[in-house]
Parts: sequence; structure tokens; C-alpha cells
Amino acid sequence: MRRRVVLLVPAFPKVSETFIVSKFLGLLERGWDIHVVCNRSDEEDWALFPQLQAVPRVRKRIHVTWPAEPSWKATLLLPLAVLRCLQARPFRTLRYLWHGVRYFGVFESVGRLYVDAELVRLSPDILHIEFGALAPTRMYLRDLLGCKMIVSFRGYDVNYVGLDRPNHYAGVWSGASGLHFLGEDLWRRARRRGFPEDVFHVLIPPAIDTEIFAPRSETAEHRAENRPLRILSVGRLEWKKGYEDALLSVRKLLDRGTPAEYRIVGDGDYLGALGFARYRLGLENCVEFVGAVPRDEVLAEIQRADVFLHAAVSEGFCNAVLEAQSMELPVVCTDADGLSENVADGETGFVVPRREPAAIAEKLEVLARDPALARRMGQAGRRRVQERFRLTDQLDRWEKFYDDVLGREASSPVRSGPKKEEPKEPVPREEAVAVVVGRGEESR
Amino acid sequence: MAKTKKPLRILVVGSSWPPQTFLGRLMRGLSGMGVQVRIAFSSWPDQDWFLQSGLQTFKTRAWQGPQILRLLWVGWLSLVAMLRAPRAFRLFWRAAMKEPGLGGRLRTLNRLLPFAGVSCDIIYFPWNSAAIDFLPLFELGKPVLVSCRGSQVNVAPHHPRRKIRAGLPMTFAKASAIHCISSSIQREASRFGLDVAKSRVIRPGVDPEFFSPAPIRTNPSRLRIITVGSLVWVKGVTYGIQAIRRVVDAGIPLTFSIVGDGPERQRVLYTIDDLGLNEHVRLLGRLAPVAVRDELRRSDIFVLPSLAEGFCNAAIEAMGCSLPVVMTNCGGALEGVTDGVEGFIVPIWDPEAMAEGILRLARDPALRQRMGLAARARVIRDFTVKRHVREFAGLLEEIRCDVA
Repeated sequence: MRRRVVLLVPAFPKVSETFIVSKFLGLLERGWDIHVVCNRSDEEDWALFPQLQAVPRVRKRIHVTWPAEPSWKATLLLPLAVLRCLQARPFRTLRYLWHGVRYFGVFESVGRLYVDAELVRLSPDILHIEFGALAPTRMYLRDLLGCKMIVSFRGYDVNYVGLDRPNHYAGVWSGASGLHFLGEDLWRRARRRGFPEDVFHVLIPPAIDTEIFAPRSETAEHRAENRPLRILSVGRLEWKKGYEDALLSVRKLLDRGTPAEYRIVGDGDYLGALGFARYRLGLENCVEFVGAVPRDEVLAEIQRADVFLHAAVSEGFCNAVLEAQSMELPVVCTDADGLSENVADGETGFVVPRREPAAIAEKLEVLARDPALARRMGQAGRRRVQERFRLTDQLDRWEKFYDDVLGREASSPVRSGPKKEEPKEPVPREEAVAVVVGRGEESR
Repeated sequence: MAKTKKPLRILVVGSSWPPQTFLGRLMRGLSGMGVQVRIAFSSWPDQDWFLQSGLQTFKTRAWQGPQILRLLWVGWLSLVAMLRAPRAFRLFWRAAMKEPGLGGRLRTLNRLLPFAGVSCDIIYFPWNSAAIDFLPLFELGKPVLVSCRGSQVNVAPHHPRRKIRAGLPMTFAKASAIHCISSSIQREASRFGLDVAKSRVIRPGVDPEFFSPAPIRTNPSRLRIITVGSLVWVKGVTYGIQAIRRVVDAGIPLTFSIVGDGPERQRVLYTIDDLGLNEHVRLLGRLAPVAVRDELRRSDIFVLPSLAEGFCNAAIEAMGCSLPVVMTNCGGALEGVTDGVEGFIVPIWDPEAMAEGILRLARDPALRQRMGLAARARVIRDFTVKRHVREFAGLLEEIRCDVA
């Protein structure tokens, strides 16, 4: 078995975060001792991931933290959690408390041990916080668990989380052993927010399984004359996805005399706003909110569509756009963050300025008028995804990144087995103090 | 004539705590006209507020706390209700039993039972949603008045999954009268079964003594533009920010102040940052009415980029302070502002048009002043809180007479 990596996410598995599932399964297959720690794991969501359930004993690798609410329940469970930690990893637990007391004092460190119990029991070599927004309040785990920490930034975390606090991520870049960004644009934005130039980081774009997202042969058939253009969007209903602009562009498209129908797959809090927009724009007959559906149905929706639309105002990279391209669908998207790296403008689709419905409508019209172009762009999209966004390549890069991080500081404690483990060398004091200072700044 | 009668007693059900500014204004105004106003709250409100305003409270209990206490409380309520008003008790009991699950039934009983045997002349629901939540109160044999104020009529029913669409027609049919805060809302409500003959349009008002222009106006080098509203999608603040970007691009030095807070704060922050407007936009958060007024007095133009409004309370407050307005055609807007007289009306979702409106005012100080004066004159003529309260009290009186 290779090194132990723990992925920290809010919920697992989630349809909107399928990339975590793919990465988990891929690394597992390649022999990494990979685990997921999350706060929530709903049975309905498991039902949407047959590929996950097919793996034997996979549930042993998914660890749901015990509830922090209601507090009386947490209080009752706390001694049990501490005992479980002591029983599973006595030295690690003591190490956690030893450092924890210095950071937080006695009471709070025991309280945190309850929250972090799964992490202590797992004692990872690498703790990978998959969403940057979670990281600022968790950087202490590096010293308390004695592991390397990696933080991923996927879009909104860099774009707008903590935007009104200048040093929001200071503790993260000083404490993490490596940072991951989805693309060049995000890394640029991160530097604009003060991330130092020389911090160890990688740019790993998302990847997808092009076997699963493959076009079926029937798509070769021509689009019938006069049939409305079938536009599709897939993604959570949130403001950052720019669906309002998408609806406005569809309205403009119809006003220009191009018939179209627009289906939006996904669910979220923004449904009310979109329902209102659909009504005010008089689009009730040609816009449908499909809701969240399992992957097979998503595939069917992509199969059915003529063009994929993504009008985001903020978007890390967008897997759905990759999936659409992989299925030979031409894409019209905005230039939000990684999207301009995702879609090759004029080749696999069109990239237009964000917040400009008229520009979107114009490109949709081009594709509606010229089915041959649409088909060519679709095919180019699949080729590009196959060349650049292959899952195996991505897994290679993850492996290399993890190896790099583990190899970077040879003096760090290396876990070779449960028997030998003992806190060989405590984290140097200055370093711990530095992190505490970082936290102080962040809270200011 | 009214003085010879017994004072009118109304019970207000479904108000939040603290009541929205405009609702508070109405309640205090009614109370000042001798109407006995009791407001039902499920949390224990701040006593001071009531001492000042002469309003009364009607205590109900929120459905929280230890289960055993909740159970005992419902038991006690049932006992009292059974003795005081057996008919109402049976009515509420039947309504509660329609709920699925024991929890839902108990919660419904807890909500309804305090109103068994309540003495009042008129039950008033300031929100459609409250009327739907308390539907069995319509059967108590007392006249019921419901207000249609905005988003619950022109936004929420279009949510593909909210049930309000089914509830609205029921409350419209059963209410004795419906108050609409604008003709636009009346029109929207009629789509959901409102009988227009039964409804009355009474537009809100502000106190022009309070919302008045600054005694001395300063004239700094930068144009000061302001908007007031909570940061929720329906207020369209980000479209306002996009308009500001265009105005800045046109070479106008300006400051844009956003007063309000809400769930879309991050969206607003991101839009400001993404459009490179950090130098130009001030995000002031939620402010007390006096502070809002002071900010208005320090501003030159008021913008309202809303996607939907019942009326446009924020705009008439600004107009009271002699600000010209640039606002979207969001429902009641045209009833408050005549395009080209007190300001400009532009389409919703159209930053370009909004920017044009702002630019016309920005480049013409004389126009700003003229429209500002017209705005204040309009408020004094049409939208004073005095008129609002008087008309509302008249409506209540009519309802009482109809029943008698």
C-alpha cells in the first residue's frame, strides 16, 4: 500500500462534485491508500454513483465526522470519540492534544479532537483540503496531525470568499506544503489577492473519462430544418453560473427569429430567481428546469442537445463543459476564469465576455444557422478533451504532486506502519508560532 | 363621526420582529388615529418599541425548546381553547389533523390555538404568506384583510416548486378585502384569482418631514450615487454595479454607495472586484433609518436596479430627500415616478439603459436639481405616510361597516 492521502470535503459523494469521486476511484485503483473525510454522506447521493458502489469495501474509506449539533449529543459522544482515537492511534492522539493545548488551550483542543477524530484515527501523510474556502480555519491541522497539507482552489474560493479581508488566505499559503489551482487564470487571480509568487503550487485542470462521455453514433444525423435549436446547460443553480444572462440571451435569440428550446439540468437556491426570469421574459414555453438527475440522464440530455451554453460570471474550470465537449457538443461560454482555457475559442466553441447576453445570443445564432460548423466544433471538442483533459493524465499529475509534496522535506515524519508510529520530532516551535500569528492576522 | 363609535380593534398576524420599517410606520400611524392595534409575535419583542408606539402585543410561542415543554404547552393551549371557544377549537383541531405526521399536527396546533376566542374586529395579514399559514383563521367569522405587498405576488408564485401559487387564490377568495400596495401588484394578483372589485390600492408613504433634503448641500468633485435595498437577487444590485462601470467608463468621477446587506453580499463583492470598481463603490451594510436618511442627503442621484418591486419604498424615501431617481420598470415603479419628470425609468436587466439615464443626470446639474425638486413635490402630493394611514384606516372602517 502506498502513502495515505485523506481528502477533506463537506459532503461525499455529490453530483456537482463528481470530479472528487473520479479522483478518489482513480487513485485508489493505482494503489494509494486514499480516504475521504466529510460531514455528510447521503444515501440518495450514493444511489447516483453506481461506479462507486461497485468498489468492494469502499464505505470503509468514507468517514463521516460525528455531529457537532445538537450540542448535548456532541457532549455525550465526546468521551467516546476520544477513547476511539486513543485506542486506534494512541501516540497520534497524544500528539494532537499536546500541540492542541498550545494552540487552543485544554478545553478547546479536546473539543476539536472530537471534530477531527476521523482525521486523527486516519493519521494521513497528506491531508488534502479540496475546497480552499474550508482551509483558513483548518491550517492548524498540519501541526496537530503532523502531516503535509495541500489545498485546492477551484474558483469561488479565490474569486470572492473573504474578499473583504485582505489576509484571508495568508495562513493557508504559509502553512500548506502545496497549493493546487485549476488553471492559469485562477493562479493569476490568486496572486492578485496576495498569494506569493514563489509558493509551491501546481496547475491541474479537471479531467473526465472520455469513455463514459462519448457520443453515440446516432448523433451523426443532421439537425432537421426548422427544428428549434436545443440549448443545454448543466450545473448547480447559483448566481455565479450566470443563468440569468443565459435566459436573457435565449430571449434575444428568439427575438432575432431563431427558434430555440433551453433546458437547464441542476438544482439550487437560485431556482426562484430563474423561475421569475423565465416568467418575466415570457420563456415559459421554451425553457425547462430539469432539476438534478443521475449521470445517465445527464448523458442523455447532452446527447439530445445541439449546443452547450455556460454563461458563468465566476467558474473555476467547469467539468460539465468538458463533458459536453467530450460528447461532441459545441460550447458557447463566457470568459469567466478557466473557461477560456477549457474551450478553444472558434475551434471547439465560442468564448464571449461575461455578463453580455447579446454576445452569447450572437454566437448561438451562428451555431443555429450553420449545423455543419456546429458539428465540426463538436468533433474538435472531443479531440481536444482526449488530448488535454484525460483522466489518466490527471491522475499521473496528482501522483506526481503528492510524491513531490511528500519528498520535499525529507525530515518530515514518514508513516511506514501503525506499529512504528510515534511523534519522532515535534514541529519546530517558531513554525508553530508563525502559524498562530497568521491566524491572528486572518481574524482581524 | 368615528369618535362616537367604539375604537376599532385589529389583530395583526404574521408580522416579523422587528416589523419592517414601512409596516412599523403604518401600525404606529393607525394607533395614533385611535385604532387599537395588537400584533401577534412568536418571539418576545422589545418592550421599549411598544411603549413608544402605543401598540399592544399578542403573545404566541415559537415551536422550539425541549419537546416535553412543547407538548405540555400545546396541551394547555388546547384546554384553554376548548373552554373559551369550543367552535374555534374544533375548527383548528380539524385543520391540524390534515397535516401529515404528528410533528406537523402539533406545530399547527401550536400556531393556531392561541387565536381561539380572540377578540378583535378585523384580522389583518400584512403578508400573503401569513394568510396562507393561518388559513383557518379565515373561518372564525371575523372579517379578514390581506395585504399584497410585492414579491409574494410577483416573484414567489413563479418559483417552480413553491406552493404559494396554490395558496393565493384560497386567501383571495376568503378574505373580506385585499389591500394592494400598487396597481401593478393588483394586476399581478388578479392572475392568481384576485377579484379586483374586492381589492383596494393604497400606496405606501413616507414622512416628508423626516425624509427631507439636507439644509445645506455640499458639492464635492465626485458625483455621489446611492442605492438602498437588501442584497438579494430581486434587488438586482449587480446590474446597478454594471451600469456604474459604464458610467465610470464614460469619464464621470463618482462614488456609488450601496446601503443594505443580505445573502448576496459575496456576489456584490465579487462583481465590484471583477469589474475593477473597488475605488468607486462603498458597501455600507445595513443602516438605521436615520443613517440611511443622512446618506441620502449626502447623495446626488438615487438608483434602483430592482428586478421586481411591489411599489418602490426606497425610491420615495430618496425622492423625499430631493434626489432624482433612475429606476427600473420593476412593477410599481411607474406609479411612483413619471419617466422624465422625477427621474428616468429604464427596463430591468439593462445596465446600458440605466447607465444612459445616470449619464444624462450626471452631465446636467440643472436637470438633477429640477428633477429632485419635482421628486420631493410628488412625495408631498402623493406619498405621505399621513395619507397612507388615513386611507388605510378608511379601508378598515369600511370593512367593519360592511360586516355590520
